[in-house]
Amino acid sequence: MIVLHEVCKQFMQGDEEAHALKKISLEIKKGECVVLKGSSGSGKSTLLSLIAGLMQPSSGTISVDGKEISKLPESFSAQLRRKNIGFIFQKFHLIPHLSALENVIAPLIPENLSPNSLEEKAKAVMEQCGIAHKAKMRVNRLSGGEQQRVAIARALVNNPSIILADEPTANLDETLSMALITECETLKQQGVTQLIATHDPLFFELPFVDRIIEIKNGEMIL
Amino acid sequence: MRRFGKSFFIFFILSLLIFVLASVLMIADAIKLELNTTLKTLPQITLQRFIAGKQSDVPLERVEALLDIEGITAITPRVWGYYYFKPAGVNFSIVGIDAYEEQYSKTLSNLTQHFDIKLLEKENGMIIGEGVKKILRENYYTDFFNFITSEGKWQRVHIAGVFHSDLALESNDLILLPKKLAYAIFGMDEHKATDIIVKVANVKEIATIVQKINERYPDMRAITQDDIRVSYQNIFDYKSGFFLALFSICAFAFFIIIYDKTSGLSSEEKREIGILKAIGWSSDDILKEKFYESFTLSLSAFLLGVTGSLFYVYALQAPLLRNLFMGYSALKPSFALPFSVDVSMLVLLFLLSVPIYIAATLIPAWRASTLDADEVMR
Amino acid sequence: MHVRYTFFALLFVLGVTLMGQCIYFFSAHALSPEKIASKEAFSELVGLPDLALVNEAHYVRHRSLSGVFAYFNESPELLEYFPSTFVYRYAPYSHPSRIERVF
Repeated sequence: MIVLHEVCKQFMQGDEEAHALKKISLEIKKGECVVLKGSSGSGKSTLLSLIAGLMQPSSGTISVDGKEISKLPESFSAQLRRKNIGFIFQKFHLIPHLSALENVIAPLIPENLSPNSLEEKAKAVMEQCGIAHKAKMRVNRLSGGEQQRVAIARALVNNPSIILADEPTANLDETLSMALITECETLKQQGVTQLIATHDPLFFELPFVDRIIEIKNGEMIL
Repeated sequence: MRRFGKSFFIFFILSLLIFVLASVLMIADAIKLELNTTLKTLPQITLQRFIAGKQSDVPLERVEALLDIEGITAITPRVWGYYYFKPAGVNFSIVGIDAYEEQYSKTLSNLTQHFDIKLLEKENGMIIGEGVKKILRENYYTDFFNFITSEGKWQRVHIAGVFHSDLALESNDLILLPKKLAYAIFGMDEHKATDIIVKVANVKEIATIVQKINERYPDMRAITQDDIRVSYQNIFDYKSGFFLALFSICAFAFFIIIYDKTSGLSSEEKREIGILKAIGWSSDDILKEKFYESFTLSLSAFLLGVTGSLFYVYALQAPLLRNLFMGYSALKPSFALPFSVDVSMLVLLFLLSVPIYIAATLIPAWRASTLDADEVMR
Repeated sequence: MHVRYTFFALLFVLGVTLMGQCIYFFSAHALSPEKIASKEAFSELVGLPDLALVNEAHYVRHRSLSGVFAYFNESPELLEYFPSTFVYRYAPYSHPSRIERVF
């Protein structure tokens, strides 16, 4: 499903080159739930961004569902991202002046569906995430936990086959974290591939997690 | 992607600019249309006499002499001028015509609202424009008016008719009198005329005839119908005066809006584009959305501006703006301009606003959407 | 989505209003042949050019028949009748060399 072969990523920090990832090779099967463990700055977020096609690797190849995303033209990679991948960002990355409902609908707009079916789909997934009651509210007026749930709803609205989550429980209390974990379990049962980058210990003991991969200084620790 | 407050402000300013420009250009076009309607019925040649550069009366003997010139079919001396009515502080234009003959009465009855032929026959009746009637009524003259002649005597003249309101733009300040009365009021020498109008057999010969007249009488200046056409074309000098000021202000305001748009998107807008890319929008989708946004905004601003200006000019008669075109005299006609839409003017306004605004929105959006989503979001 | 439809509705309404206005004003305010005929008859009778829009001074009221001295008639300096002289230009054949605006 997701295959990384000797992927490297370097960033320029002033005049110096910083190696975010060093020769990562990884294979994640369809339906697997993998947890990426590592401290901040270890490269977990970079890895997730590369898999989602949000940036290009400096070297190496990344394939998702058999398609090498580093070589796809921009419109195809956007379509892949839209239809197959749901991304939950660490900082949510919601559009502040739009309402919660509008944020959740956003990934569906390029599909050119009717406004009614857009709303139906969005509301269904918001119910699932327990945020339907705040649909009309502007996201910059929601609490951190509520914004997190909107971000999760947005990631799920397209029924993606892959979920990438970057510190999904960072702003949630214990109750909400447990609710999220239940949601992850449901997704696992539905056969959705999940890659969760986190340092929340709640995830390390879960029975439905297939693997835990540790990343330190951009390298995979086996 | 609507930041309501800012979008509304830009929409409002764009509409206002187009409204003002369209209104002014519409008024200018309508005035030109009104002028050009009667151009071909004006005299072919008008002759004025100048002494020391000042216009002076023409001796009537010259009429006979000019008839000798080949190509001239008719010569008519005219008496006209201005009468300053002190109580209202206005100038009436007085035109003297030959005593109301049979040939005129049908025309006059068509041109006037109420027409009393008996008063005309008595030879001391006048036909006045609506503006004159209004001023006289305000000064308690209803059926007649007492002119003060140059000798200080009173000359009572009855109001025999008032020109139609349709002719207000041409006749508002006009008084048509028998020539004899005009001479008496002006105190002019009866052997002279204010100017002479000349009719020619062949229109193409006008230039030659004018040359001959100049040779015969170097102190006379000829104004041909063509000259008047040129004068009408240049009535609004778009390169100077009011129009230059207007266009400069509009261009300046529009430039500021465009500069605001093209000086690059704010970091917030860039971030928004990055987020959209991250959740699966391609650059095409983003540009398409930006295009719809800017197109609907600029097109609706354009339509609103033009619709508003049509209503403002033709339904409301352009309050405030008409003072620019009518001055401050008390003797103003109703600003009922003829309706004409110059499509080329509208197309030009459209091309100068909508595509430029769309380009100014799309270019920075395109630049932002070509960046890596991750970079923009950080 | 709703916003987009709202804007299209606004565009449609504006377009229809614009067409409606054009049709109405054309029927009510356009120059009909009768009006043109009466204006032509008037112009032939009186024979003076220019519209009676501005009454301030001779050289604005009958600008097509004015010459240089008409502009200086009232005083040695050129009197401006704002906004009329600002809006209407003097006739180009009146040879106003002194008041030619040079930028």
